[in-house]
Amino acid sequence: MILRPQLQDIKIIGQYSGRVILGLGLLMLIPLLVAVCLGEHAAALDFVIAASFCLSAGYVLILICFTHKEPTWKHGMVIVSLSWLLAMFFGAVPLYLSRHWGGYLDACFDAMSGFATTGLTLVQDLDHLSFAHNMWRHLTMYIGGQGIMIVAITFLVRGAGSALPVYVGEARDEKVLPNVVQTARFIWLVSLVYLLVGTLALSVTAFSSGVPAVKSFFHGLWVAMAAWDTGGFAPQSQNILYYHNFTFELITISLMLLGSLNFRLHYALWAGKRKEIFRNIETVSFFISIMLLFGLTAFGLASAGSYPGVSSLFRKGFYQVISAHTGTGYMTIHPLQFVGEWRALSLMGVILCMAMGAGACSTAGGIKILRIGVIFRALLEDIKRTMLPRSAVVMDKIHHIKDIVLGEKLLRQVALITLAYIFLYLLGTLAGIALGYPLKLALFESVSAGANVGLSCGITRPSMPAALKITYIFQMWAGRLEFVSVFALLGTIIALVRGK
Amino acid sequence: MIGKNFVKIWLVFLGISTEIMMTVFIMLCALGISWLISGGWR
Repeated sequence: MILRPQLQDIKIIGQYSGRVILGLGLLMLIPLLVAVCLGEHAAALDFVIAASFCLSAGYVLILICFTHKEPTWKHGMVIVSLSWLLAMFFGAVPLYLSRHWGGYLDACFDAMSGFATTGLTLVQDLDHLSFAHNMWRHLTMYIGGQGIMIVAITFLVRGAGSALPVYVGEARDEKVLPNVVQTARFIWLVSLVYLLVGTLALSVTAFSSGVPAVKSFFHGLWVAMAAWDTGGFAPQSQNILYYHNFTFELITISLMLLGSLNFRLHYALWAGKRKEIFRNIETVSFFISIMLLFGLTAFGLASAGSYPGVSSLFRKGFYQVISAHTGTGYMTIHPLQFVGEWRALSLMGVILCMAMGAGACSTAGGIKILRIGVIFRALLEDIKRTMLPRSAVVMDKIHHIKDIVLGEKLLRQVALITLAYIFLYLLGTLAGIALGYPLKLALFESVSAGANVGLSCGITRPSMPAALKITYIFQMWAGRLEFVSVFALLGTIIALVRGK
Repeated sequence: MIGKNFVKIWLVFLGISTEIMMTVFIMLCALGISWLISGGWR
């Protein structure tokens, strides 16, 4: 029997969702400040309207749903998935008002792409978008990469008890520190340190290559934000290709790699456990995977004669591989070059990189390299076991910060999430094929959306069918939240309709 | 107290250096693969 949620349940969900909307309204004050400082009056008005809308809607929701009760696990899951949807609807308002997006659906697409750190975009005439709107696009990416709920836990949630369900619901099943609030603060510390270092390095590089000072600072800040959060929004329509600068590319590669590392690994390294980098199954698997898949991609590119030299193979091939594997989506080629210059083998290499993703409990999306490592380790152990005598007792272990027994429960969880991702990738591919796109391109774009990467082979454009835009929005949302909280929301909706 | 904080900051600095060295190592390996595949050794 399905139990219908009580009024109290709805109040708890409503109150926490209201706080997230309120927080979003407060964050809109940052681009508003940028607009005021740079004299962008039209953009400032957009943010005044959008922030007032968010603040009043959030405040009203908190007032209507006021309760002292704390959320349980079930509430936490629903709050997270609902908050992400609400963040998309409210976050799209200033984008829509700018008239750089074809309609509200396109603005919602970009808002979800930002929050889910995907990087696919439907913006029109990006090169003339205001600084304030660009700031908001990159801010959505930064908040999304940290986790909307991490932001809420840090600033808007009362205690650690109520924070745990919403923390776990946001696809972060690993705590860095015993206390969730401390974990959230550590995530902020690491992110702000690298944001500072990245902004400085990129701004200086851009400035020294001739970009004006103010533009250098903002471009450095935005690219650092999106590279660290493995997002992929860029302030120019030509993406990273715009800068034509090798140093800029090297810095973004470093930031993408650093952003895709597990926050637990950052903590271990920052606490002095430097050997962890060689022992952890996640870093070892990530390194092997990068090298194998880059080898595959580079072989495809070299045999096709696309990029014959060492420099072009590294700057075009390796950059795209790292961008795909970390789930960032920055490009040093034009999307149509994937179709025209890259052969099937190279494209397959990039698709595999995107599908696998990077570190768990990081800002990256996709299946996650930890799960791939666990699956391969289990496979190897099974092969080993067949060679041993039947009476032999084997204890399978992996090392991830500490030694973990490779039990049935862990393997089941890993297999289920991996399977769910494969279904998600297939869903978008089928939608793409049904709407008339070739299989190769439909698969590429679908994996890019589902794994929150943002590399595009040209399908994602304002003229693409609305059905495909909605499919990709769903893929970005479900892929970022790793399904559990999405299922919880769907279950709650079913219980509201059919429950007793 | 000051000594304890200094150790903490030093450890963080070492951690960041290790992470940056890791990214440099990955890039050098990728450069090696590019060199091998492009036939630079011939």
